[in-house]
Amino acid sequence: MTQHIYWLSNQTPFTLYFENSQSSADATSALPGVDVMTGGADGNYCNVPDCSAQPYFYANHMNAYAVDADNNVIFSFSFWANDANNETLQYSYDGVYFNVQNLPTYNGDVTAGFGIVITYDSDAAVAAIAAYAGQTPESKSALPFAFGEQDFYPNISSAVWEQQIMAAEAGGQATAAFFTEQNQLYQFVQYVNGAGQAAWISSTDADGNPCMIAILEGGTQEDTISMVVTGDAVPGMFDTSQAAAVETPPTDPRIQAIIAAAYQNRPSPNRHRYSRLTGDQGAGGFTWAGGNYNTVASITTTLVYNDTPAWYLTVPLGLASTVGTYVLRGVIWSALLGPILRGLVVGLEYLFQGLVGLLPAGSAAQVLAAITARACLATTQNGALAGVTFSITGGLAVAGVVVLIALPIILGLVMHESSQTLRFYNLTLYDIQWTLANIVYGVLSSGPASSVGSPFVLSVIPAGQYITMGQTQTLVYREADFSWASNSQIHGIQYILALTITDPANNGALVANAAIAFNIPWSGENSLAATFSPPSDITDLYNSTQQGLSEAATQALANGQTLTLTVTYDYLDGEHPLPSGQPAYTYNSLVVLSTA
Amino acid sequence: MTQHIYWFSNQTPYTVYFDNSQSAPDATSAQPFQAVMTGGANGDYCNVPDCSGQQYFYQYHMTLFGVDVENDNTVVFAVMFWANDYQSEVLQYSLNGAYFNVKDVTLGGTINDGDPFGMVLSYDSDSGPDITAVPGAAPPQGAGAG
Repeated sequence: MTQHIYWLSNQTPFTLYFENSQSSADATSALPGVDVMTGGADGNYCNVPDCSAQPYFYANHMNAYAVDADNNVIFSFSFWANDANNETLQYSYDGVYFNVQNLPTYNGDVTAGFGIVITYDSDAAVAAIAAYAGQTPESKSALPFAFGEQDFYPNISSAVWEQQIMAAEAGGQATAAFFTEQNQLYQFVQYVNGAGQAAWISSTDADGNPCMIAILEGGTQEDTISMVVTGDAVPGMFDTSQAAAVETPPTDPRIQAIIAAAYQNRPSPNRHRYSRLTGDQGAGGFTWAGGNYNTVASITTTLVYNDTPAWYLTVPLGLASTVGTYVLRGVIWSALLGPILRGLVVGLEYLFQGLVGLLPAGSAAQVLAAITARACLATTQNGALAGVTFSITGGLAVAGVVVLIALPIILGLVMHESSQTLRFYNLTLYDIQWTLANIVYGVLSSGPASSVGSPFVLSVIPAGQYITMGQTQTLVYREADFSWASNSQIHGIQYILALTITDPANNGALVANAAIAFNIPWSGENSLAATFSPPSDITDLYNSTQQGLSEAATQALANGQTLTLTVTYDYLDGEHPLPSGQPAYTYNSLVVLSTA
Repeated sequence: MTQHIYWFSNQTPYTVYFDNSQSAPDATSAQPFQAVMTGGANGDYCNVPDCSGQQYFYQYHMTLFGVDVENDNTVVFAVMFWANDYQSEVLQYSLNGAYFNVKDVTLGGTINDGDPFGMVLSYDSDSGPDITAVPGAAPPQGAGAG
């Protein structure tokens, strides 16, 4: 068997020359950005030379090399078929048999014919080569995208949330109002599940960029919850000098207001319907399923309460580095973004359905992992942009969404005498490691899972971090969500979390030790405690709990700042409505670590 | 006649490998800033392949290529050279595995056809690799022969 090469796609800014050490008649060349057929002497295809080791290399390989305007050879790839290894396509650099690697292949089986796509990252001065199955250059159009990984800690915007969390630290009604708003997610999930595809509106923002929206209208306009999925290209990917087709923005003022809210407090947008992509290498990248991806855009899911952006999750969208971002040159931004957003929405639909259908079985963490995996698989899809098709593999693009929307639903399914929702906000640049130091009554019914498929609960709430949104960096804090339930008819919930606070910017140096305690008795008022001086016998902290709606502890830091640890309840006793409306002995608590 | 190469001196910070597309036993390598003899199979010298055009290139050239062993064995550069049998065996070279932008090798002295010589290989991060043919059957003092 012999491998047959049919075409060559030059996705570089250089002239590309193609040669066969076995047959000089096969030689051809391609100008920058041009595809050529490699028909050889008889106009059909070229046989790829067989080579299984260094002694055979020089007389048995093909060569593709790039030449700039000054006639400098910028790079060259040698490739061949390894006849001692099932005709596997292999390659090396610079005309030598060294550091030999298998050629990345896309679009299926290459044995029926393939082409070569060569790309170049001018910022990093790195070239890449890949084989695409198919006998015409159109075969290369299955561009492999992937969503970046997102752990189970939702991102929260520092600009949007910090003040609201600080206000809710007062406890009592302030905490209750905070949770009431968030628990509306229960109704939102029910609505999307009932409406299915009809729940999602394909729309555009004021500039005509694609976005997907689901809106649950309450009794009044002030009782609306929406989810908006949008995207931003990374810096360097846009060519605003090139006009593209104009799309009509939505005329419905309600949708306009919701979309505007989704963009509120976000940095200068790097999106514009008129723009085409430059194809230049953007900053950063990520690894997914063993492959490296160059980040080309960020996809953001925003939850909007009334007209306030309450929470968002941003994940990177990458193109396989073996393809190179140059291939996106000239692509219209909206043509790329639209199909990607529709794919992500399909994943969200599976996620919502999974939440309701799967939660009663298994541990909460296992269920979360299972439905996230399902949603990620659903996200895998094919899209199209101007005659070019592409595929997206999952990543954990929706993991954070799972945690956020699961909590009120888990609460709704709790059949125990009493329960507690605990949202832990880390409003610092420090890592927080938590351990369940002691538990007298109750069980931890859900917590942040470590990854898809893993039932293990994460133990470190990450420090705040700056992420790229559009053109700029924005500070994002991390949220860890837990739910606790009583496990008997005659006891409540009583436990202590020990906290170790460390500085990741200082090699993980210890910043402080702390502990928090909650006691929700079967009878009587709730109590709580927070301290930066945990007793040597941690159970002694129960003796320090206070019957109150809020407690705070402070610790002076060496850098002059003060660390504050606050714990709250919404109520001290009695029955209160679950997110479903059913009355229960359910309580909501905040834990907030902040610096000032 | 045929040009005979007796040694090469690696004046680069990379490990340099020496290959002959005509004779696999000629292969050898030199650590950074070291020189080695290129005696080939019989220990005396290697015949430099003749090449007078692109169609002969792949099977008729020698290669000196630098490898960054501390960076995933990345091939940093490759210099291909040969003797042009249509031009009085003048030594010529090109870069990065292609017969393109072919240049004559700089001579560090008179090298008549068949005279013993060696190649001194240097590297500049801005301008790339460079080779000079130096007459003699052994590396001169200071050429890293050691």
